[in-house]
Amino acid sequence: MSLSNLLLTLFLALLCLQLGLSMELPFVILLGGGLSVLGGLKIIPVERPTWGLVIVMVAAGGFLGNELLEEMAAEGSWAQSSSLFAGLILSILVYLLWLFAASAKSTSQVPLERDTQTILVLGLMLLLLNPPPATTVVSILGTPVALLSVTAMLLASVILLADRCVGVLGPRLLLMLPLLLIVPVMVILLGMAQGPLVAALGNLLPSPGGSANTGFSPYQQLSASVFLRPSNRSVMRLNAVALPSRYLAGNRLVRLDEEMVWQPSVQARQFLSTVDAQSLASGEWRYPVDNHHARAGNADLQTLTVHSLRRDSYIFLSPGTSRVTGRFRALNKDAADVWTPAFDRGADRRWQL
Amino acid sequence: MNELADRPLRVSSETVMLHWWRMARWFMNLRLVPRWSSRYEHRSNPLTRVYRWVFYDGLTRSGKIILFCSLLIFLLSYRAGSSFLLLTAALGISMLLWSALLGFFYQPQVSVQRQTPKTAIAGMPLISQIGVVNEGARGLYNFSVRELIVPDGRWPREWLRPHQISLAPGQHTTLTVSFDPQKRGVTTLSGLAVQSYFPFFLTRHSAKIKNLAEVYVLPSTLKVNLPSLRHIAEQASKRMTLGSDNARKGTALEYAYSRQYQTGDSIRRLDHRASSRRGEPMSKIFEGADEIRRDQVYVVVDLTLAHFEPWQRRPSNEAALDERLALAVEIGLSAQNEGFGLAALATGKQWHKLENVLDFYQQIATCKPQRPGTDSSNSLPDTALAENGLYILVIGRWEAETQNLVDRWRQAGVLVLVFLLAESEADVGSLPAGSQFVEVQR
Repeated sequence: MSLSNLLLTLFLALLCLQLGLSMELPFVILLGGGLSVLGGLKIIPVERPTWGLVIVMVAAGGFLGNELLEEMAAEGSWAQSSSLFAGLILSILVYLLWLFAASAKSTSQVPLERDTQTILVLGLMLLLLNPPPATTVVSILGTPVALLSVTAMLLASVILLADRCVGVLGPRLLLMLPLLLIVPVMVILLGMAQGPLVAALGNLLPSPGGSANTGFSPYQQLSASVFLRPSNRSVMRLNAVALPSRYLAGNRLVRLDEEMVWQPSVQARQFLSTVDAQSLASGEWRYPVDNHHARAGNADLQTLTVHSLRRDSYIFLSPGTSRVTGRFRALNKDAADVWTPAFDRGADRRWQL
Repeated sequence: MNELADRPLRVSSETVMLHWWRMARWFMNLRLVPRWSSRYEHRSNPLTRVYRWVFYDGLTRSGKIILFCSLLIFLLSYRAGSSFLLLTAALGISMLLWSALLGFFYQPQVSVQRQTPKTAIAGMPLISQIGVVNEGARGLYNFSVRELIVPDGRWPREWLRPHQISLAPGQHTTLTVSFDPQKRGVTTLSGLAVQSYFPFFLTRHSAKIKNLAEVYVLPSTLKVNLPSLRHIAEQASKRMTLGSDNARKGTALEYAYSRQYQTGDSIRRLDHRASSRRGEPMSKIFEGADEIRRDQVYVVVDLTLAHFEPWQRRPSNEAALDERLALAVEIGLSAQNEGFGLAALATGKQWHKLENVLDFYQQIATCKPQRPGTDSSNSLPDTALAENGLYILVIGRWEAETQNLVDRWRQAGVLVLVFLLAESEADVGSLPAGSQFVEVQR
């Protein structure tokens, strides 16, 4: 077995591991890994799949996934909730394994090989665009690293080099060492650019025009999009005799300044854990929530009916709320400063204020 | 779809309304988006250059997918609680940037010298030998060579190009570069691109070098079985001897000498004694037979296309003409194999003397389609160049005018063989009976 073949076997085994862990299907890891090794050894001559066969395979994968995975997959896994999509992904994995088994012997006579490229392109897409399972994320010097994604990306480059740098592979791999310095710098640079860039892209997107009543004021409208992407566009209309000092728009605490611009209030805490919470005898956790508008709370009790905008994990608070109680182990604020409880999978998504 | 080059011509004998009707039809079917492959790579506009850089010169497929996924991860990881990690995106983008930077310092600085055949066949790879000299101060690693894009041509896929692992400074190597011309005509190869995949095969750096070469592209090979020219010429010659007044009198043939057997020679004329003496097959040659005096072949190709209308700037489909020309090439090759010499070629009305076979290919590659005229004198030469040659007429339609021409030449003692490759179904079986008339079946 040539070196590139060996590395490609490893790449496919990693892909199977990532998909198996992500879908919580152990047979994908075992079967896929075994087939990767068999394909690498090239013991059995296999014909290359035709395009027609690939289409049939993907369609059959989607159909079987839809029919079977809903029952086979672990309770609450995404493979169960999106069984059709999971079936399609598994059929692509089968195609890659088949292509690998049928691929010709690697040669240094050509700069790039057709089948190797196809396997790397589709494999990298499946590996990188699938959220890395929590078990594969390790902390190195305090930075979380998606081990499988990083290994796969480095492997993809080494596979191409392996048979085409005979005798100079070592020095060529040494050229990758400066990445140890470049990557941390790049993380800082990308981190700095991320916020402004995402906001700029958000503003470029067309406004969906979907707005809903917030329930806080008869004239107040809440744009759903503002909770899904950061935006500095106006999201509500307010008629008032005097300037309200601070206002809980949705569940974002804001104030209208002298220039009639909504400014965010100080956000003291971005994360709450069970350390901050009080354990109740019923097994629930009671979280204290910063509420700078508590003093200006409503004089009368109000009953609010809040509808979910798009996702059911957003939590809606009325002004004056100081406690949120529910069966979740953490509360996070997302990019739009919306509190999101970390519900357990399959848990009852309810909370009390 | 129509192109600008298809704009209808005004025919003076027709009404203006008809002309405008054709103009309107042309305009409604006009292709406004230019073809990507219809421009030379080194003359393309900036937008095309960027497009070609992204797809052919910049990132490899693996590089492109790493960039695409890294950008997506970069955007998706912004959401709080997102499972995507910024470090993954940072690694992908760092690898690409580092690869591009290293590749830039080791980009090809070379001189090239090409050896390209003068002729090619449409649809078949044209293979050139390219000598590459590394003129840079650094070594050149993991590189390949390709032709620059030219109209009516196609590159081989990336996985079919030759790859060279390294070339030290000042060193020389030779690589083969192939290229598929798609259309008959003269193709000017504009230059070569030397592409380096150093260091990680994620990025490419190219040196584009102008290096002109002119190639005469012949039509696609016609897969037909041609009868022996010598045999049918012999049959036709006998008929002519018996039937024409100015033919040589006398019935008997006298033995003249023996020579080496050539393809097409009759088995009955094998000289067994001479063959056993020389240890190779020998044929008897007789006085009075046309084999002695008809050793030169004159090929006449009818370039007219039945559906090439007077208002058209170019025919809508040249396939029939290309097939006819391919047949002429096959006949020319067959004649050479049988020991004939190619003396001249008439493409249309004009005779072209042939000094060598390259002249023949050049004429075949460059001839233009003609509109059918009122009589064959517009499309075929009036007179034969010499009486003692074998004239081969390659046509797509058998018409009364062609019949008149053939009869006239035969009256003058010219031996004419007519090969018909039917242009349409209506022309199948239109040739008269006779050994000098051959209808070629596809």
